[in-house]
Order: sequence, then C-alpha cells, then structure tokens
Amino acid sequence: MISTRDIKSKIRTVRNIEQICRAMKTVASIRLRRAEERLRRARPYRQGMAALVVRAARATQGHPFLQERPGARTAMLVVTSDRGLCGGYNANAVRRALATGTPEETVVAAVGRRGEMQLAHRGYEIVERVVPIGGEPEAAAISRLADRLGERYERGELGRLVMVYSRFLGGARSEVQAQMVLPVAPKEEAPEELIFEPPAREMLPRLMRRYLRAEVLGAVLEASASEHAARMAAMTAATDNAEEMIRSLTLEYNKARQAGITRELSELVGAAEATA
Amino acid sequence: MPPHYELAVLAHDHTVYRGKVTSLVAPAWEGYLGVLAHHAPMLAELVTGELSVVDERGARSSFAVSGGYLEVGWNRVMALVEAAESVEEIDVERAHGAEERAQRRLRSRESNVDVARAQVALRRALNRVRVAEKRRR
Repeated sequence: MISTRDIKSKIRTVRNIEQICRAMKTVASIRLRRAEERLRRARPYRQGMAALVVRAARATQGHPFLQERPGARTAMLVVTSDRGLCGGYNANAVRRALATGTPEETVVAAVGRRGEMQLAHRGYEIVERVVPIGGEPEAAAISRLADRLGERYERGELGRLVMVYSRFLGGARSEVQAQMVLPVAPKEEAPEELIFEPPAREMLPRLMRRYLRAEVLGAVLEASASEHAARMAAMTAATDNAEEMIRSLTLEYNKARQAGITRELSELVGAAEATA
Repeated sequence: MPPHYELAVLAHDHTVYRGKVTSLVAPAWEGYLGVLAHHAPMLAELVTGELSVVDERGARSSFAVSGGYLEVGWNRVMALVEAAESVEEIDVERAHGAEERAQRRLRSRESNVDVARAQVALRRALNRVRVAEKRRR
C-alpha cells in the first residue's frame, strides 16, 4: 500500500503543476484579449485591400502578381507558435501544410518556431523565416517578410503563394485555412472601366506590395489570436484536470490515514487484550 | 439634402472614419483630388497630405494621412491609408520634435543616415504640423 507521505508529495507536485497552468492560462487570456482587439481593428483594412486589388486585377493585366507561373514552385507561408502547450493548434496547421504541397514542389516560409522545426524535419526547404513570432507579432518584421516573398515571386522563383494559418472565429474557436494569395485571382466578370491615377503600370508595383503586406500581416494576426485562444483552452483544461487529480489524491490520502489509524488502534486493542 | 455617399477611411491598424459624406478632398498623386457623389469608378494613389471630408450635415473633418489608395465606386468610396490622424489627435509638439530629428539626420553627413527614410519622416512631420495648424485657427 502507498504511504501517506508518498501521497502527500504527489499532491504537492500536482499542486505546483496546477499553479503553473493557471499562470499560463492567465497570461494567455490577457494576450488573447489584446490580440483579439488588434485583429478587430486590422480586419477592415485587409478586407478592403483584397477587394481593391481584385478590382484592379479585373481592369488590368500588367503585373507579375496577377499571372500564374506553371512550373515554378509553390511557396507556403505557415504560421505556428514558438512553443507548445496549446492543444492541437500547431499540429493542425502542420497537418494542413503537409496536405497542401509535397517537399518536392513546395518551399516554406515559416512564421513561428514549431512549424519551422516540424516542416524542416519533414524535408521541406525553409526559404524564409520569422522566428520567434513572439506573443505579439511585430508588424515591421512581418512586412519585411512579405516584401521578401514578393521579390521572390517577381523574380519568377515562385509560382504561387499559399498561406496556411488558423483563422480566428471568436471565443476559443479557430479554423485552419490554406488560402491562395498569389497570383491574385480576378473574378470571372467582364472587365470594368476603371480610371487609374497614376496609370496602372506605375501604380501596380506599389499597390501589390501593400496588398501582400496586408495579407501576410492579417494572416499572422489571425493566427496569433487563435494561438492564444488555443493555449487558454488547453491551460483551462489542464488546470481543471489538476484540480480533479488533487481531489482524488486527497481522498486517497485521507483513506490511507484512516486505515493507518484503524490499524494502530486495533494493534493497541490487540496488545491490551493480550496483556489483560 | 445634397447627394451623399458612403465613405470608409481605413488604416492598417484601425478604422479612421466611417459615415455618409457629401464630398472629400484627398492628396492624390498629381495634386489634390475632389470626389462628389456619383463620381466615376476610379483607383487613385494617395501621397502624404491632408484628407478632408464634409459629412451629410455639413460638418468638416480633417486627417493627416501618409500614403495609400482611394477606391471610388459608384456610390461608395474607400480610402486605405498608411497612417492617419485626425486634427484633434495630432500632437503638434511631438510632430515638431519629429521634424527637428529628421532635419538633424538630414544635416548630419554621417554615412549611416538613411536619407530616404529621414525625408519621409520629415514630410510626415511637416504634414502633421501643417494640417493641425491650418484647422485649429
């Protein structure tokens, strides 16, 4: 039978773990609130930019971002977290990345350490990285990543750019997406008359760069909110489990203690009877 | 009521303005550009300058913006701007500080000065000061 002292030390261990989980949960919930607010404020710009670019694409054809390049490799931008303890958050993104393209025809731009490690391990070439992503992704670093990807695409190194990330749905919910960003797909509508000022040829290179920045930053902000939500949910579950464990261990401890007392009593009584 | 249209001014990190307006004047590539209701579809690139709008009640709002795009649909206009501050938000002292810093960087002949960036910073600072002072008087 397990001794009361062993049970006691076990309870202490679990209590320590519970405290750590609770602290991580608190941190995640604060970060989630901030990430959610940042995302809410950033979403309209990204949506507006995407709509504007689709409209421009319908009225013109003059930029590499608008043309598909069969034959060239696809780049996958994969957004994950730096650390684990966030449930299936990273596993889901990595699984989606594996399903999106093989290592032979796909290269990876990694944001976040987990995705970088796991995809490199699976044989993908990591051509760009923003690691670590940190708790609050830095807009400047993400914009530079977008610019570098754009340059690779313009040089003809890349045929397509797909972003794999978790879109934040509110609460603790998110959904992994594989979204094609380049080439920009014009809608199947008749080209419309659109006045460009300055002329499209001059405007498009700058516009396309802004578009790419908005998309990449938007994806990272979505993923960041999803990460904190996932971590908060995971840590809430872990805290609850630890509490449950402490409860059952305490019960076991009391039983063991009671058994010890009963045994000692019966020994005493036995001894008393023997000497009587 | 004069003819009006829906306007949204969006910066990458917040919504600057949303509402019904009768006119706007924006700093376009080749000078200031006015947009009334029923303007033909257009896509214009914006530079650093003042974006001012008159809403359906005749009230004017003014923003210092630095670069972006103006998308004009038949009765809906969207401005996507790099950065925007309304007149009330502009901290004139800070803008003056930024102006001085940029001037100093441009004057110093050290090789590590990024001239292009300093010039952009200077242009933005001057723009903020100008927009703020013009509207406050």
